[in-house]
Amino acid sequence: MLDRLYSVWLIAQRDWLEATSTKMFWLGALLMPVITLILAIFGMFAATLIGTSVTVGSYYVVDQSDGLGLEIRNEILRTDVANFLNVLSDREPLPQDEEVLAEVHEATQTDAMPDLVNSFMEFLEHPRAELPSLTNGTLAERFSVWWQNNSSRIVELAPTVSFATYQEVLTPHLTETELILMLKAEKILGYFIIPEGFVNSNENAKFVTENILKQDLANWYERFATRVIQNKKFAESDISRETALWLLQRASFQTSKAVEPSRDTNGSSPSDVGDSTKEVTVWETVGEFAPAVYQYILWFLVFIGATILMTNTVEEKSTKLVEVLLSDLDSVQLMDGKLLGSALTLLTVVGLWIFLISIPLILGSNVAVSFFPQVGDFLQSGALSSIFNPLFVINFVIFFVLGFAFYGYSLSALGSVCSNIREAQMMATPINLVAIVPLILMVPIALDKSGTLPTIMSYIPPFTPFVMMNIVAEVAWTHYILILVWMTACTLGVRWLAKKIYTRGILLENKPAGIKGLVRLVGGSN
Amino acid sequence: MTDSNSTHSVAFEQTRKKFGSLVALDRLSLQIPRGSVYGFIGPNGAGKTTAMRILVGISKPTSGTITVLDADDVKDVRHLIGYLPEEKGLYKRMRVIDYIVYFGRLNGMRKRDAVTKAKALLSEFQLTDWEKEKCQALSKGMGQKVQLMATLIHDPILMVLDEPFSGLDPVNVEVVRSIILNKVKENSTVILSTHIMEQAESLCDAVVLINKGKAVLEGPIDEIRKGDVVSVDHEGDVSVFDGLQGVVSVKQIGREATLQVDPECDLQTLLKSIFERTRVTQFNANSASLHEIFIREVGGSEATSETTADA
Repeated sequence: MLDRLYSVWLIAQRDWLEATSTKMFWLGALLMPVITLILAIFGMFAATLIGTSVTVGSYYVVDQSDGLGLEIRNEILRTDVANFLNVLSDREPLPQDEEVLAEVHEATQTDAMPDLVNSFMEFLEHPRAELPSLTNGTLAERFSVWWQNNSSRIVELAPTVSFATYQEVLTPHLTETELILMLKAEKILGYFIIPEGFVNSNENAKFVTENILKQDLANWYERFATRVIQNKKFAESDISRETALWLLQRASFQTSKAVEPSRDTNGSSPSDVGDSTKEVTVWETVGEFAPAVYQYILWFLVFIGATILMTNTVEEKSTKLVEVLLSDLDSVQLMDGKLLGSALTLLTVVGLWIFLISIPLILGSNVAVSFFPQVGDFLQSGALSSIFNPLFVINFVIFFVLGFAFYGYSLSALGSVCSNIREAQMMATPINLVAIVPLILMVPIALDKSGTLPTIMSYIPPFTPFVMMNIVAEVAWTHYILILVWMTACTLGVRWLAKKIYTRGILLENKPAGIKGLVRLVGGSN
Repeated sequence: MTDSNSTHSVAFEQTRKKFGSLVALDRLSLQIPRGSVYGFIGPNGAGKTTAMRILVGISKPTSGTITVLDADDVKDVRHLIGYLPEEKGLYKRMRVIDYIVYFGRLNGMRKRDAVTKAKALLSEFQLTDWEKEKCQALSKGMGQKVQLMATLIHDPILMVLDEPFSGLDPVNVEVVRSIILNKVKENSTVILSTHIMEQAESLCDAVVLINKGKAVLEGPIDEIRKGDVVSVDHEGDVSVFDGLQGVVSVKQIGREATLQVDPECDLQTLLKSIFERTRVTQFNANSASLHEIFIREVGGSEATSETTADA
């Protein structure tokens, strides 16, 4: 028995050493997380760039109503002014700031914000009257002059103002023909048609655009149009906007998670509900998807490994090395050894990745936090402990072993009956198609871990390792044990079938014809 | 098992192997003497490789039995067998010495012993300078020598070599020949298959000629070659030899007829009988070469035909 195991170990060791002793292996293994990191950093920079350097899109409004377009324009302006004043209110003035801004900041500290907005809107709203110079007049007048002449400074201070993204073309009386030409020339993103009677009916209201998939402009404009129309309706019904909003307020529940209830010093009574729940952060929500990520990595490793195993089998068959090996070993020993060797190679890759991820987090987290504050939030959120939860790590290893053995034996057997890689890939296609199902259903399974679909899929052996990895935290112990026993039995069954096919298939010069040929190999002797 | 006084290393007994409807080996029965060089000869696809695969335990017979080194199950004596398959592959990225040591360890050797033995073999095969090179750097001939070293490292007492001379230059052929002969001197048994009849004739103590899965001819070389071949250059056609006593078979190409005669046949009487029937211009009597026996038994067309029975 020990001799047999030693032979298996020798095969595994050789395959592992050969795979891991090449520069390409380490380069590939290192490049994967490095590329992922580069992509993540690139994504963050791209997001920052997108946030800071937005290309402004223009739009036009054809107003066939009695001035709704103008009211919407003013509503947008009012929101921008309020937005800007809020920014100024929260920001300490700097010595280099314009004088008027310092004065506005001071006003925001003393005056009520709606009143301040109203006072500024008096001079800013359309149609605009002629304004005095910047040095004369009231604060509202001077601010209005400054506002009209410093749009880039406004965007710099308050990047979320609407004209940082969209600007209305104010040329009067453009015809639809002219607008269509502007659309074709990409001078505007689209134009809105506000029909007569728009307050009562959306009929004939249109947003004309060349890019029907890009709806952000329409959604944004709709929001302001809705507000203007609501205000009109509230006024007609003699209801104040505040009352109306109060009436329309939606009920909402803050998503929280239960924490272990703390007890007072004598340990007799749990503390109140407030202490036993905790608000869920974004990172914690991300942490909830850790099993799905494990499932993805598991799938990726199992298939990379099983495919490499199949390729190696075909190569060793074609060079007849396998014949020499089979004169020294049983086919099962050879298969087991090769499977173990590949598994060790993959675990080396995973170990390297964990090492690479852990080092900067442990040693250089301060540096990372200084560059990306989100990393700090992530580290403090406890998501890391969700991701490296021992339950997931241990089950990852268990289901990796079972999944890799299941698919590794299957693909080795298929590889043994093929003369070249192309043939093997063709024969493996049905297995690959079946195996991709849990990957496609990864997110639905993650969202309903105790549902009927994941439960049924967890009992189907080709899906079991991947589905179980995703739902393991939610399954009952009885279900878990049953699955382990069932999957182990199925894997041993596949090993037995693979042995039958491999032992005869590896010596065949021509591959057997499809399923019938494989069945014949299972039925026959070597 | 191997300590018994059995005179043979291998015994096939009614051994049959079928692949679907194809009979690759048809009730082969033969005994291979211990301490001999035994040749498997036959055309491509005759069943030689199948017989060798059964012998080393890679394949199992459909029916019949095989006893190897007195064991009924080859697995029990696998570590005493060294097998060199017909098509020879190497782990290209492995170093030469590691490759040889690897096969030693697979056959139960300790690493230290395997390294020592591998170095000795590399020296014997004059490949010491290549010890640390990767196998992919070797020429075809060198690669074959390395494979042979991997076959020999654990000192097998039964060596099964499928076409050991193919691809080797004359110098390396001699090296391999001397290795085989040395092993036999150590009372090991060497079973080899070859297409080169001269090699078989000069190296083997006994051969089996396999054709279409059947043993057509089997025995010591001297016995197989026993019997005369007479070539007659004459002016008549092949019918002049009809009914001649002692003539087993006749083939005639042009004026030259080749007669296979019974070993007991008196050549003087035969010559006299032929003179009575035709005008003879030349008469030669020789022992048949293995090549001639091969051609005679297998037939020219079949000898070169390709089949897939060796699968």
